[in-house]
Amino acid sequence: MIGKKSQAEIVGLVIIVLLITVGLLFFVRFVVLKPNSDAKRDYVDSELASNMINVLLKTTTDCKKSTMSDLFRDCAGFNRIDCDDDGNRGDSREKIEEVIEEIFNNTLEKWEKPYHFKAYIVRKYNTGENTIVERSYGKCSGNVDRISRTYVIPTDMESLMLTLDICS
Amino acid sequence: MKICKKLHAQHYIKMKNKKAQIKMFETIAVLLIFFVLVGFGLIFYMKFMRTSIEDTGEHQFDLKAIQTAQLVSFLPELQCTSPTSANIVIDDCFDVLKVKALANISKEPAYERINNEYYFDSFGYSKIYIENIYPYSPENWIVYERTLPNKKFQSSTKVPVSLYYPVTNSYSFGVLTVEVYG
Repeated sequence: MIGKKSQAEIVGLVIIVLLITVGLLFFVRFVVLKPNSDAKRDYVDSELASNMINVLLKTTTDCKKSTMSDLFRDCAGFNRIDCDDDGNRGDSREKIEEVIEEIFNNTLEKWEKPYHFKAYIVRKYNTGENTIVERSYGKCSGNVDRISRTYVIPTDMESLMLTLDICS
Repeated sequence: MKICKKLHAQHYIKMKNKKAQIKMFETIAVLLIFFVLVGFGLIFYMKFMRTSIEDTGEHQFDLKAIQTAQLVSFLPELQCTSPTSANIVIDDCFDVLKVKALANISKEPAYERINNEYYFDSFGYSKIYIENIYPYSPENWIVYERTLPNKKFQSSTKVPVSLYYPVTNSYSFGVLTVEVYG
């Protein structure tokens, strides 16, 4: 009789331990390991990445009323634009750097948003790449969560790629 | 002999009573521990539920902020249209003349009814303004403003937009800011 009673008590203890373990497992699964979904951040970063390049390329500069897209094309092509009419052509790269600095300084950097922007020419037959402009702010390298957008601009000679990574 | 038997019986009853009392205390102790555990569980569950409800509320507020930002981005009162056809809309672009007109409407007391009834339905308690970033200009346009006195949440969404100047046929780099209060 005593043996049976102690057996029943052990079974009761085992049930309690099992219940507590199952409860803890549920807690860990649904509370601790809960996926951190931030709809707003995803939307804002995605809009930022795509709109930044879109709007940037459309922007008219004070260099012969050319758009940024024209300047990029010229820079990747024959370098014919002479912004200050001094007879020296090839001012497009300088203008691009100037405009990008002003825009990124007053937007992403002011909002303390880490990013990495790069504009580069992809040589034909995979013979390497030539960077036109590269700019970054904050921690945006390695295994950081990021939203990336790439735009391709066809030019006279090669293709120009623009990439913008917005990091969290 | 009879007295001895009686004493023995009394002792037996006393022992049985003590045993029953011990059992009762044991049951009460078990029940007490059980209810304490249930109480802890309930407190923990309530705390978890409260956090969960607050998270859901914040998530809903974020969704509302996104919805407002989207609504403004595609507002026909601001969007640029192609010079050849008014039906062709240019993405991520605001016509500066339209922006100025809407900013004036939001300031005019004569249009208060429109602001209160029409735009309040769409934008609720929020502030929507547009800044010119490049070429730099100190001119900012507040196209809608309605603040909430006792706001619990505030969410600010910034979206880059092109600002089209029809007179000079040029595009500026602008930023649309949507601040939503809740």
